[in-house]
Amino acid sequence: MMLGLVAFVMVLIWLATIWLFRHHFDEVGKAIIEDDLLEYTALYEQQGGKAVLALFEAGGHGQHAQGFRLIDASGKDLINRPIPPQQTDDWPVFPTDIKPDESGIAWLRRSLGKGKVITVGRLQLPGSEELWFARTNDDDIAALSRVNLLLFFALVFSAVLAVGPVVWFASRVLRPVRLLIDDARRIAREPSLGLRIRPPDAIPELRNFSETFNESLDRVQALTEELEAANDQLAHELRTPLARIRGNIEGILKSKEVSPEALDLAARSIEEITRSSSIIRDILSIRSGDSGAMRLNLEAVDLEHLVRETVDLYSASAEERGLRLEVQVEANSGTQYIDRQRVQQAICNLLDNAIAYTPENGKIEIQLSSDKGASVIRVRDTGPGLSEEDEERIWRRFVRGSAASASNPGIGLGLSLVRAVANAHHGKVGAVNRREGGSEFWIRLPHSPAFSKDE
Amino acid sequence: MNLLLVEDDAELARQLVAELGRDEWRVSVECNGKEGLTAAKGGRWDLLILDVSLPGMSGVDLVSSLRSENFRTPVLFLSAKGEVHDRVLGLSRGGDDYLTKPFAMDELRARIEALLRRSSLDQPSPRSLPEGWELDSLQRYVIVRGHPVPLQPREWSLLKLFLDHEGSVLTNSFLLDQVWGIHFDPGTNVVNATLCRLRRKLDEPDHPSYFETIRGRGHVFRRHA
Repeated sequence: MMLGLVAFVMVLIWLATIWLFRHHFDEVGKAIIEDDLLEYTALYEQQGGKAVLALFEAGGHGQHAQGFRLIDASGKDLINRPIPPQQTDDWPVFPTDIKPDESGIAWLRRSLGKGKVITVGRLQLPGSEELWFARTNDDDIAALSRVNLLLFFALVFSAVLAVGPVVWFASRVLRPVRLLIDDARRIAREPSLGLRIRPPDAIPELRNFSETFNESLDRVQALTEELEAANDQLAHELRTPLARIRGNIEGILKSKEVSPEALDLAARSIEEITRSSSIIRDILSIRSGDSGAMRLNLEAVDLEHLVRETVDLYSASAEERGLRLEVQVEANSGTQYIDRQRVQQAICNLLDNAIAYTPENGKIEIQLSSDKGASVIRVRDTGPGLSEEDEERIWRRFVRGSAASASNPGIGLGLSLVRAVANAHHGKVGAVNRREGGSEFWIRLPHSPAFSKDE
Repeated sequence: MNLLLVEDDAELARQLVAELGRDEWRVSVECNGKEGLTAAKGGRWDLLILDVSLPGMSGVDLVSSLRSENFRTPVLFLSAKGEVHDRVLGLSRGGDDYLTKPFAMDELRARIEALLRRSSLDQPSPRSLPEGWELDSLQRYVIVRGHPVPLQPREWSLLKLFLDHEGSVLTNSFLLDQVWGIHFDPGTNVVNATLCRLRRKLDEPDHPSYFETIRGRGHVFRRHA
């Protein structure tokens, strides 16, 4: 990139210089011809043709690729010295429409090929004779090629001077910066908090920055670990009393001397305890997924098998509600290392939602496909779809979509759990409205080779 | 049957002793890990029930230590930690089953029964069946008075589970775990739906259903009186 720019500028400088030189040489060539014509005219009028010829010969003009001619009014040659190796009758013919300039000289340029040009100046003398003077640019071309050579060395030299610091900058400064960015990106992608930036030795400022960055990562990791420990504590603290309450209520359920009303109340309480404990579990799972602390139990799973098995769980309740369930497998990339329980729970939550929100006679499609190194599971329904603000909002904890109603049970944890599971698998989730009505929810699970069992 | 319970929560331990004592099981209680280990080594037990988070020594470490000394008694973990990896850790260190708090006593009893049956497999008792029933395990048929009734794989597993635990109340979460292999609430009544199909296929007219559902507890299989 940088080198290309430098080369481009160098070529530009070279072309401009050559053009300027060429132009300048043309001007100088014309000035030589004009000078000689005027000098010869003066000499001719004072001393005649012989003196002019003597001057021309003495000047060695023949070797400098110059020619000279004197003709009388009838066009007959009085003197004729063409540029060797041309013959005496090789002089170009002036077209009739060429007018002389303010010095009385008419000009003619002919290309001889390969950049070689002959320039002829013609001056009308007072005695109606004509003086011609011709010159080729052979000398100019030779001079130009020397200029070219010098210019080449000059440009190469200055290019080295100009690019050297750039190369030095790139290797000493930019490369460590780039490595630093790569490290930071890897840390951002990696769900575990164990990675750190490798501080570059070369640049003290960057080293300081990396160390500070790593220190803040240490703090984030410590906080996360503390949070995880607190979660475990919370789970313990809540589950144990729930277990005690449950034990006592079950005692009522099994007692033979209890009224039917009391039995009913006890059964309801048990149901609520079951619900509370699954809420506790979901909240803890979501929190661990969001903070990157979710520990996965990875095993080789055939996703198609898992999807079909999961859909099978819902066939009865779909039938009950008059819904059609359809599985489409577009591509199955074989077995994949995932946490079977969690992914199944994520699919369950999507299916459960789809069934809850799709009106009777609707259809729910579950599609498994493969896309750029990832498996994608899509659940499409023919329900009311999502409002625009829903698409982002519904993934948050305790948020229910705008189509939720009192008749649909749930406290808005299902989709957050789906997202947490996907995040823990380095995957993604999303929801869109379908053009033909209803919504589509998808989970993307990359089959990354780095994602091995010992992670 | 002698059961050793190691549980630091006194209230839960009291409930467990009261509940399990009804089944002619003798339950001894220890309330910390180290004493639990001593008791486990010092007695003859048919089953250990261990809380995972114990003072002194965790339930998981306790089992690791026992297993390293070739101690074969089945172990059931009780834990307030319900994550998959907690369960996997417990089972990989030598536990035979894992139950998350809060749990139903019925489920605990069903799991204890299953573990005790598994450890006494040297003399398997022939499965007793309702009158007029035969099982064709190869084709998954129940032959009811000479008529073969074909069952789906899940229906088959569910029925066998009920036959193994005849008369015991089986909770939804136990059935989901044993028949479907899932440890979370899928939000759909898959157990009830499958039970409905079993009832349609197997129940006989003019008789109460073999499968009774008890609200708040679960389902129980009983043959006709």
